[in-house]
Amino acid sequence: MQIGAYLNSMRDPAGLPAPAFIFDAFLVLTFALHILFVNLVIGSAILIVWGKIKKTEYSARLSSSLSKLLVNSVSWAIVLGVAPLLFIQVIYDPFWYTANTLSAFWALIFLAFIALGFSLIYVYYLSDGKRSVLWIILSLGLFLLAGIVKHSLAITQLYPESWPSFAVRDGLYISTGKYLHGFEIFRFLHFVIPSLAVVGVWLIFYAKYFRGKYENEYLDWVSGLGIRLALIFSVIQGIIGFFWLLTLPGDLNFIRHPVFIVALILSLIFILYLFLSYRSGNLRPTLMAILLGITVSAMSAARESLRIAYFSRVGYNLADYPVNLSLGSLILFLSTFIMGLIVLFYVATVAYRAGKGIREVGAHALGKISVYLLWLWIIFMVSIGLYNTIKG
Amino acid sequence: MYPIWDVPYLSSALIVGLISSFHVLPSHLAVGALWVTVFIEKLAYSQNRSDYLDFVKRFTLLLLIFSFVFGSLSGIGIWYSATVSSPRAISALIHNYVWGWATEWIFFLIEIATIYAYYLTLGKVDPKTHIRLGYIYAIGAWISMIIITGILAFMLTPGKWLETGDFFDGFFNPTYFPQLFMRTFLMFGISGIYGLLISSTLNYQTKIDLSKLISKIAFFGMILGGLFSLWYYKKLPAETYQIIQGLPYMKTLIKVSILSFFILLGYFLLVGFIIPKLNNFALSLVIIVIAFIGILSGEGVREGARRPYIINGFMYGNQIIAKDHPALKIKSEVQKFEETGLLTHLGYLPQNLKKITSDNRLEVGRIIALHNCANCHAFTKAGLRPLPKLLAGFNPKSPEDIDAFLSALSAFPYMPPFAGNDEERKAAAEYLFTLVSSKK
Ligand code: HEC
Repeated sequence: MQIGAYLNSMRDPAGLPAPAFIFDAFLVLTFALHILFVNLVIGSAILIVWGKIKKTEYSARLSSSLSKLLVNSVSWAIVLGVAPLLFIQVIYDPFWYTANTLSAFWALIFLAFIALGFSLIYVYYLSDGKRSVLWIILSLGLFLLAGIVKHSLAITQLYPESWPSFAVRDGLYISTGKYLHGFEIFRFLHFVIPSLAVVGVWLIFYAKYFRGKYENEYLDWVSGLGIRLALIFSVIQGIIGFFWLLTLPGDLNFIRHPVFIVALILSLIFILYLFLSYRSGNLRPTLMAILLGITVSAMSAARESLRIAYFSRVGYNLADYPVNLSLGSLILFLSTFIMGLIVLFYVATVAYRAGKGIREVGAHALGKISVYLLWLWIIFMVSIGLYNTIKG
Repeated sequence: MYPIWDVPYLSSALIVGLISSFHVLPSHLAVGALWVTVFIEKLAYSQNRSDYLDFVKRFTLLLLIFSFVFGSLSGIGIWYSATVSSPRAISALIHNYVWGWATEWIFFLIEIATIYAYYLTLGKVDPKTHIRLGYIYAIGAWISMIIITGILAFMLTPGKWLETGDFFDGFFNPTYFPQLFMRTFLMFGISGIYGLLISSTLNYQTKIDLSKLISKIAFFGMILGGLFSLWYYKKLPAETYQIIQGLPYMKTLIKVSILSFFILLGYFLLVGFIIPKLNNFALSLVIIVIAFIGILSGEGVREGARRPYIINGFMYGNQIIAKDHPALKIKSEVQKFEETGLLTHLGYLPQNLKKITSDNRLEVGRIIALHNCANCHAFTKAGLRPLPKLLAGFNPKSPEDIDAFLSALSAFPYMPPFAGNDEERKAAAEYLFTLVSSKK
C-alpha cells in the first residue's frame, strides 16, 4: 500500500463533525495565540536572567517585575496550546497520530519537561526573585527542549514517505518510540527568535500601563529597550525566515503562495511601523500589539498553507474528508465561545483596573451578567440532558 | 493501523491509568476548591474574621500550584498517553466529541483567568468583586466537570449513541447523571482534605474553627457522594458486572476504594464533630494518600470494567472496531482483518516487513503480537500481566498450542478476538512461543 492510500485509510471512520475549514480556521487562530504566549514566556525568561545578571538598578527592577508575570504567562501558553492540539488531530489525524506514536517516548517526556520547567519557575517566583536566577535558566533550557520535541514531531508529520524508515531500524520495529526524527534549524529558530520581539512589544505596553505609578525615567528606559528589542529581533526573524524559505523543497513553490505573500507583506509593514516608531519615539502599544497580532496570525495562516502544500504532495486533501455533521454540538461550542468572551472580558477588566491600583473596580453589571450567563449555560445543558434521558 | 507503542513491564494502558489516577487529585481539587473557599471568604467579611483570609490566600496558592501546574499538565498527559497507546480510540473520541472538548476548553480559559485574578487581587479590590471572581471560577470549574463526565461516562456506557451516533445521545448516556452527582459531591470530600491540610498550617484558633467547618462540609459531601455511587453502581450494564465478578483483582479494587471511603468519612466525622484539634499536617497528608489509593482503585474499576472494549460495544482494546455502526456508516473490522490480514493495514511499515518470509517471521510475529496484546499485557517476564508468565501457565509444548489459544482468545470475556489472518496468527504464535521457551 502506498503511503497516500495509508493516510486516507487512517482517517477516522466517523468523519468530521463539521466541515474541515472550520477546524482549520480555529487551528490557525488558536495557534497564533498559543505561539504568542510561548514567545512571551521565552522572551520574559531571557530578560529576567539578563536583568538580574546585569545588575543595574533598572534592569534588576524589570527582572523582578517580569518574574511576577511569568507564571501567569506560562499558564496561558499551556492552555492556549490545548486548542490547536485538539483541532489538528481532527483534520490531520493520520499524520498526527503516526508521528506521535513513532516518537511516543518523546511525546510524553515533552510534558515532563514542561512540568519541571514550570515548577522551577514557581520556585523562583515564590522566593520573590531572591533565589538564584539559575532556576530560570534551567527552566528556559527545559522549555527549549520541549520546543525541540514539538518541532521534531511537526517535521515527522511532513514526510510520510520516510515513516517506514523511521519505524524500523536494521529490520527491527522500534516499539518504544525512543527516537526523534528530524530537526530543521531555520524552522526551529523561526519559532524561537520572535520571543525577544514579542517581549519587546510587551515592554512598551508595560511602560504605558504603569505610567503615573512608577517614575518616568525608569519607564522611558523600559520602552526604549522594548522598541529596540522589537525592531532588532523582527529584522533577524525576517532574515531567518528567508533562509527557511530557501531550504524548503523546491516543488512546493511556496514563495509564490498567495497566503505566504500576504503574510510577508504584512510582516514587512509591521517592521516598517516598528522602525518609524523607533525613529519618532512615539510609541503606541495598542496599535503595535494589534499589528503584531495580525502579523503573527497571517504567519500562522502561512504555516498552515505550507502544511497543506506538504500534505498535498502525498495526496491528502482536507476537502475530501467525509463530514458527518453534528450541528448541535457545533452550536453548543460557538455559543459557549461567545459567552466565554463576555466572561473573560469582565475578568480582564477587573484585572486591568486592579493592576493599576484601583480598588473600586466597578463593572458590576457586566459581572452580574457573567454569573447569570454561567447559570443559564448549566440550566440549558441540564434541560437538554433531562430531555434526552426522558426521551430515551 | 497506527504504529504500536510497547512499554516494558507496565503496558501502555497502565501508563494512561497511572496518569489519569494522579490527575483525579488536582482536578477534583480544582473543581471543588472555591465553593468552600468563597464561602469561607464570605464568613471572613461577615464575621470579621480577617484570619480566615490567610486561609483563602494559602489555599488558593496551593490550588494554583497543584491544580494549575500539575493538574493541567497531567490532564494533557492523559490525552497524550492515550494518544500514543490507543491512537484510534482517542481519535474516535475526538472525532465524536471535538466540540465538547472545545467547549470544555473555553471553561479552562475562564478558570485560568479567574483563578489568577482571584489570587492576585485578594485584598486589593472591593470584597464584592473579589467574591464574584471566586464564584465565577467555582461555577466555571464545575461546568468543566459537567462536560468531561459526559465523555468519560460515554466510554463505559455509550447508550443510544451506538444506534444514532448523535453527540447528545452519547453524552447524556445511562450513567451520566449518577456519575455527575457522584463526582460533584465527592469533590467536596477531596477538596476538604486539602482544606484540612491548609488549615493545619494556620494559627491555633483559626485552625480549629476552619477544621471543624471544612470537615462538616466534606462529611456531608461524602455521604451524598456515597449514595450517588450506589446509584451509579446500579446503573452499570450486566456485562460490566460479569467482568467485575470474573476478575478477582477487580473485587479487591472495589474493596480498597470502599475502605478508603470510610476512612475518609471517619476522619471528617472525628475532626468535624468530636475532636477538631486532631487535625494536623502529617495526618492530613496521610489522608490525602489514602484518598489517592481509594481513587486509584475506583478509577481502576471504571477503566477495567470496559474490557474487552476501549469504547464499550464499539471498539476493542486492540483498537479494532467491534461492531457495525450504520448511522455513522462504520463497519465492523473483525472479519476484515481475518480476511485481508493485519499487515496490509500497517502502512507505516517498510515493504519487506509487510510479507511474511522465513527471514522476518519472528519480527513480523512480534509486530502482530504487539498490535494485539501490548495495550493490556507487558511483553517482559515481569510486570503487568506479563505474557511470558501467563502463557507459560498453559504449559504450551509448541507454537501450535499458542496458535490454538490465540484462535480462541475471544472465549475470554475480557479479551478481544485476535486481529489478523491465519498466517499472521501462526507467526505471532511462533514469536510468543519464543517468549515462553527462552530462558532469559
Ligand atoms: C483488552 C485488554 C487485553 C488484550 C488486548 C489482551 N488481553 Fe490477555 N488478558 C487481559 C486480562 C484483563 C486478563 C486477565 C488477567 C488478570 O487476571 O489480570 C488477560 C489474561 C490473559 C492470559 C491468561 C489467561 C488466564 O486465564 O490465565 C493470557 C495467556 C493472555 N491474556 C494472553 C493474551 C494475548 C496473547 C493477547 C494478544 C493476542 C492478549 N492476551 C490480549 C486483557 C487483555
